[in-house]
Amino acid sequence: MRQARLYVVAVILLGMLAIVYSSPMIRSIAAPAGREMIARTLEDPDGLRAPLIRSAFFAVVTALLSVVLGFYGAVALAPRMRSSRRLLLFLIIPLLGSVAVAVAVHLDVRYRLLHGLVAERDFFVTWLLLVLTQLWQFAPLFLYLFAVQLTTVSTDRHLFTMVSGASWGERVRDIDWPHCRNLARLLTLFAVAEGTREFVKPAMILRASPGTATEMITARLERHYAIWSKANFSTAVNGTLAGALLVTVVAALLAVLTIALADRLLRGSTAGLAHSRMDWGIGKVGVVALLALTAVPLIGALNYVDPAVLSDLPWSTLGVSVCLAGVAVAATMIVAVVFSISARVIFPDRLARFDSHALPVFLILFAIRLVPPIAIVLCGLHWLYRSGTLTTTTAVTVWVAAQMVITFPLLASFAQFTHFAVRTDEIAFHRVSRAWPWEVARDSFLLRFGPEYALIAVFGLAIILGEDAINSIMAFAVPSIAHELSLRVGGRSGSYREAVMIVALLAIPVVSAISTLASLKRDERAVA
Amino acid sequence: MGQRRRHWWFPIVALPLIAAAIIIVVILDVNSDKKPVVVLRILGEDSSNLAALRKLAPQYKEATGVDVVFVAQTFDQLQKTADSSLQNGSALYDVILNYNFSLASYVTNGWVYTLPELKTLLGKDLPPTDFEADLFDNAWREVGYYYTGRGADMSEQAIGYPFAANSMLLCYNRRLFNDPVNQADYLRDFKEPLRPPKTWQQLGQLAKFFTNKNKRTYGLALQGASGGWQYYEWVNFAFGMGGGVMDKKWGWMGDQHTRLLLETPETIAATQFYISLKPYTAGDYLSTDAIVQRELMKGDNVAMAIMWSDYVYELLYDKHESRADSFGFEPIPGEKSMLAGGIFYVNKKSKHPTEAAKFLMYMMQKDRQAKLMRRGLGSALRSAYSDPEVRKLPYASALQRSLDRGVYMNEANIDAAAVSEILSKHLQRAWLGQTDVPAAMSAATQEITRARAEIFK
Repeated sequence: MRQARLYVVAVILLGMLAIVYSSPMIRSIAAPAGREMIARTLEDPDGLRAPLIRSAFFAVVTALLSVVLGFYGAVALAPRMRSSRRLLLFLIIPLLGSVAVAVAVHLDVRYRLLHGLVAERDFFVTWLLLVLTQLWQFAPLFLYLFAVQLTTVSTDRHLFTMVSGASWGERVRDIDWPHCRNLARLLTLFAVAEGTREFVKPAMILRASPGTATEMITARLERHYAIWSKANFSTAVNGTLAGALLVTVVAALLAVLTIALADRLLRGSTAGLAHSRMDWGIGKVGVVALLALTAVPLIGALNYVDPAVLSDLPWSTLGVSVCLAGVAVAATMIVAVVFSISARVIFPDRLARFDSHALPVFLILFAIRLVPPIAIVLCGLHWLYRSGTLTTTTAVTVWVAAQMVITFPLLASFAQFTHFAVRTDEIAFHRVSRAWPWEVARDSFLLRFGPEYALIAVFGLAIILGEDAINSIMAFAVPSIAHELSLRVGGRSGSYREAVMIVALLAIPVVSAISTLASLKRDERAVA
Repeated sequence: MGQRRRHWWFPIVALPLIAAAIIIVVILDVNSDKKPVVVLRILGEDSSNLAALRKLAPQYKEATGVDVVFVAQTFDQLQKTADSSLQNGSALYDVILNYNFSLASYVTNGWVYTLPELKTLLGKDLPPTDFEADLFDNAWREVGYYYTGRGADMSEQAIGYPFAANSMLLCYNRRLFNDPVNQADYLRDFKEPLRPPKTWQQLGQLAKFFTNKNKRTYGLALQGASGGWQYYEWVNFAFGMGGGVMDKKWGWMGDQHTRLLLETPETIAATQFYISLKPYTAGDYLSTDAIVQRELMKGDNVAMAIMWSDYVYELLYDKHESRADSFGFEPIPGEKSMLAGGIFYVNKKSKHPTEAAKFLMYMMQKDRQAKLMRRGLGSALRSAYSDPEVRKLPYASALQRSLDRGVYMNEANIDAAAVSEILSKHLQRAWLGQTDVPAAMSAATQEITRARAEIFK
């Protein structure tokens, strides 16, 4: 009971920190400009309505497709997983290389066919291209994560299916799908959040705009800010933040809806497959084909790989940026792991699996990922300028704190999901045996999930290194790779060759780290 | 519980992180100890202009002991950072290098020092200001002047000095123009020698001539991207062919009652001509901004482009090769060119306003402007263009002539962003054939009128 109270206090404090940070956004709906922005959403065709509808459909469609393709791809891949695990790690590369590809596609005149197809911004072709780009970034990652999850199905269950003569379809329905259901829900939530706030790829590939009916909601909010920032700063800020608050609420509702849809879709389709006698497992050729398909869009980026620019790269900035990101991710992981262990132990029944009880927890955690980036920037600027004169040391501290705020939800969510593997009766045993909290944490979590925590930390590192909002605000004092990338892609003295080389340099250590960690022998108790 | 596991990975991961944290703190603290007393922080767009100023920073520090730190951002980042910094009364940035469309907002809100205030600050330390007579007068008036006073006392006054004077230039591919086969064919077909266009009609003619999709050559690389790019290119055509956007003398003038010129026959004809160039442009027009345009020109199969003067330095000289002989430059066709650029804005909350004023005065001196121009700056001083090294720059003569004949083409009042966004939306629709040009201009006029009524309320 005391632990529960302490945990609730900690959660409230964290929540208050988040509320304080986002208070400019919350207050904006009280301002006339904020109320007017909300009111115009339904009325004005140049208001938020059209971009919000586009973003909503984009988020829902890409989330469903990514999860469905990811799951069934993993089911097909499962037989090959153990022998091809390291090779299949290359499926993660799109997550890291999407900017490079967007740049390459955008520029490369050799993609004449692509330019010809989208030149007139035909509705079907344009949106197909955007959906495919989003799928390319996330579906392989989801496929890999589902495939890893399927390797943790216990051998007892496998034996049972063989002995009972269950068909491939029955195995998918009764074992694979239930084993992946929690992960599917979490990934759906993640995909909806990313899809709703997406604006970089449409901006870079298509230069999305209202004139071509491709503008998404984040870009629309940026445009509102740009139009009003010189005319009336209060209107610019309050209108933008009120719009962002509305988008956050809509995204949360969309997430709940899409999770239910994904659940139903996968449950229904796996039930339909139960009668199938066909084995859809893919052989080695299938693995190679899958990797080739994932690599094809990167071929365009290869045109911009130029070792001659290595000497022009800002090596000291890259080095300091990676070090700072390491510090930020280490700090965030400590908080995330402590938070999620506490949650699992204190609420053993509520957080035993990803179900309707756990969903609100994850929605709250993901809330900040649902907020449009411009709102994060404007809130950050608001607090930055109230903090007085910043020395470099305090600026770095502020940067680390801000990155923790941004990254904590994702890392805590994945850590929380990992902790579903700890059985409720194991926690009950600790209670009965009056184990110290440290003993519980060490024996049931830290010693068991080391490689998983390290893997989550590497993802966190990739996210912090690529995060642009906070990095652009703090550029005056804190070097960052994301800011250097944005200058090379969007600055007047930009160099796409340098940008692609930076992305390539970033991808190598991250993929290597993931490869090493994923191949570590996992604790046999680490099953969900 | 269970077997003990070797967690060899933990120290491998943890130790480098701890070491990195210690190194960062030590480095930051050591560096902070070495910093001089005064550090000027200057915010600007990452451009050849900023790069040129940055190159002179060590010289300035040696001369004055004042360290100058440049914070470079993309155009969009700069607007957010600069506006919120000033609006929140922050002293973080001493000087902001921003463009003329920011001037009205910054001055009316009292966020920046005006030139008379800076001169008063400097007092007897005011260095020579003979460079004022050397400025391109129209360029200075367009980017550095605004109203001061109210009612009967209202007058136009210089608010600041230009950190750069920009325009848009016609860039042409020398190889394609000098090709003997092209020259013979053009002479045969059009009975005039093949040379860069002086009239808009010649531009269209040349664009068609050079476009050969079988040979993968194009006449033009037009900018159709939203975010201002299409608008800034289109105004060259609109104003250059006798039309325009508003009936006023300078971009920062006007209010909601200023007459719009979008539906005049000249503007409509100019827009129709612009859209008629669609078959001759390379790449994906609707996503081509100035950066993409520059990359298309580097591809060496595009004959002409109307390019920003502060983009051409990196077209000609990147870190590994020089293309100075590959491209030629002329003012845009017709009799008028665009004026653009920005001024040094000294933050009223700066803790070092006197040092900031001294810095910009230092950079404005004639000999420094020539040095800066050699390093990529688009100088607003005439004398910089007489420098022998500057004259070797392929674009210097064209830029000088453009600034000499420059007029208002870009909106620079508080409604500037609204005008450019709305116009761009309707121009793109007309480009895609979703509406005809007269209907597009009519719709744009109505929407801009509504927006301006709200903005100037």
